[in-house]
Amino acid sequence: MRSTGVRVAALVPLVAFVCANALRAQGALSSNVGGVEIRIVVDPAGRAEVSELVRAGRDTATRASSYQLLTRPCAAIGDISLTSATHSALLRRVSNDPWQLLDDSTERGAVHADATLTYTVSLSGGGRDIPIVVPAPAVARGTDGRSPGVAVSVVLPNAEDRVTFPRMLTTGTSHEWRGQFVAVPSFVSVELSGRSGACGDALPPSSDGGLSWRFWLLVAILVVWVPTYQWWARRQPEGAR
Amino acid sequence: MATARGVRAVETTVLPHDELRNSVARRDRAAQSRPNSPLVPASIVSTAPGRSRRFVPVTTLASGLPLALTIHVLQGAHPGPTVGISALIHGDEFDGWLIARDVWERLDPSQLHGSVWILGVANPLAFEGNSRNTPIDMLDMNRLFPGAPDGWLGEQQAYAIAHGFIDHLDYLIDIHCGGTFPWVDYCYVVNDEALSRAFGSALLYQPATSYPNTTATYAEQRGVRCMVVEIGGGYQDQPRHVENGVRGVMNQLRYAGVLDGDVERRPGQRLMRNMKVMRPRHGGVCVPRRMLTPGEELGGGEPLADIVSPYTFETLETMVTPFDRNIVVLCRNYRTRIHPGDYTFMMGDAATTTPFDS
Repeated sequence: MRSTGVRVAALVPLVAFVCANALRAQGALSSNVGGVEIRIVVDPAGRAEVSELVRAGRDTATRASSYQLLTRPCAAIGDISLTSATHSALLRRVSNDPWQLLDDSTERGAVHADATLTYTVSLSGGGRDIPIVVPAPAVARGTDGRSPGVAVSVVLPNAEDRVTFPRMLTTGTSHEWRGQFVAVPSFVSVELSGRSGACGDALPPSSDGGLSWRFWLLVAILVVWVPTYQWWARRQPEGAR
Repeated sequence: MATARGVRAVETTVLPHDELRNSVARRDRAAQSRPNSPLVPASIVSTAPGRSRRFVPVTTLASGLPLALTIHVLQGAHPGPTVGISALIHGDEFDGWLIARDVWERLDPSQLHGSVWILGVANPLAFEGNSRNTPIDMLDMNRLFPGAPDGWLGEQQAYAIAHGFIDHLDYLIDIHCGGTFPWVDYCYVVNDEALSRAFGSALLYQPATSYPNTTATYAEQRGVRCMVVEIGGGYQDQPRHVENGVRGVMNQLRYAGVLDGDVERRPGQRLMRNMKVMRPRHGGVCVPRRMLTPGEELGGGEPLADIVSPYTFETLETMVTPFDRNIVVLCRNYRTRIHPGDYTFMMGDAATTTPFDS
């Protein structure tokens, strides 16, 4: 009887080890972002206010350093701030073209609660893509394990404006478009009325790209330089030539 | 449900060009016409369960023949996500098609939550020519996404795949292999590590920077969870690779919730951060020093193969392992013609490789 008890006692650490490994494996396959809600409000000038609510997952903390951003042409991104119940910081960007890795410059990146990211994107020229900050870990799906965990909402200034991105549909009210995804998209594309042209057409139509002022600067240099050179050349004595 | 291959009755649909070229605008217009309809992504709208086949037109060839992509659709009886499986985007990577066909045969639509879309031949002309690149423009189509409707043929095909296939997915499983000569066995981690692990490869790779303009980058940027698997090639051990591939895809379908059941977890998986693609400077005949197996570990400076001139019989170069400790990712085991710059070996740096469960 006693030997049976010893055997059982000896098995306890083994069972505990196996269970711990199983739990660890389970954790490795689970997500640490509980869900993401993204709201983008675009004004007629092509300025977009982006707000992303990143819900903390059930297993581990969401880390501020675990974000990335895909840069897009003709889209200038302002400071990205992170706010949670316990923490507030500006995210530092490290370039890894075309991606930027986002880091919490205050070194207090562990966020054990829901976090909200806010930033502004200014579209210039024919820019149409509004970048979205992407958490590096996969986002958890719905309680059934199937439904999408990412909700995106875009509010446009006019009824004739459009969101041209897969799965984004208009709600028919308030110029709002919505979509649901299983992963965070890295941008959404919009078509704003009155803004057209290729992305390279970033200059206003009246601009000549600086040709005029460069020309007049050249004329000014010549006006000064030519008489100065002629004066200098005449003052040399004949014998020196 | 099980019938002999090739005789299963399927419903066939041809999507007109307009459907493809204006797919986004048309969908938006349709949504606007019924503004109060519930907002449900197209992928989880349940339609009649069953098997169907869709043709996405690409263009008309100089021969006058139409070029189209064939998508096999398994529509499940229950709502759920849409998973896409693509193969043969590189025309000489045949094993992916074998896996895709077996998956199509084994799945029962009445058991599915959501749907499975199978693009078995993503690059028909490259498959016909047994070539990695598209023969007409000789471009690598998996560097051309999102493509262009008025670009090179490869760009037109990429455009059709992007909008006629990937835009409709929640998950993408893109199957590659080693091609005609090389043999390979690993998979990429893109934006869902668990999805990649569920395939069951022993070796996973997450590069610091990925190849641009691929199916995976296109899908990732559009909120689609995706992974790329490299399995088989070189006509080596095809039945085993196909069986492993089918088992891996089925496990991924369980992970995505399309199939019921627990996700099978493979112990001992390793994540590799650094890998060297070894390409010869000279072409000729590749003469391997010995047979290798993907996953095998090698020491530093170990000779792998000689590149021999077919005309002078002299050795032009010898390829050696690049790291102190190497993991074989891709290898060539037979004496074959080789071009300068060809895929010859891929070696993982064991020093940057970590087990998942440590």
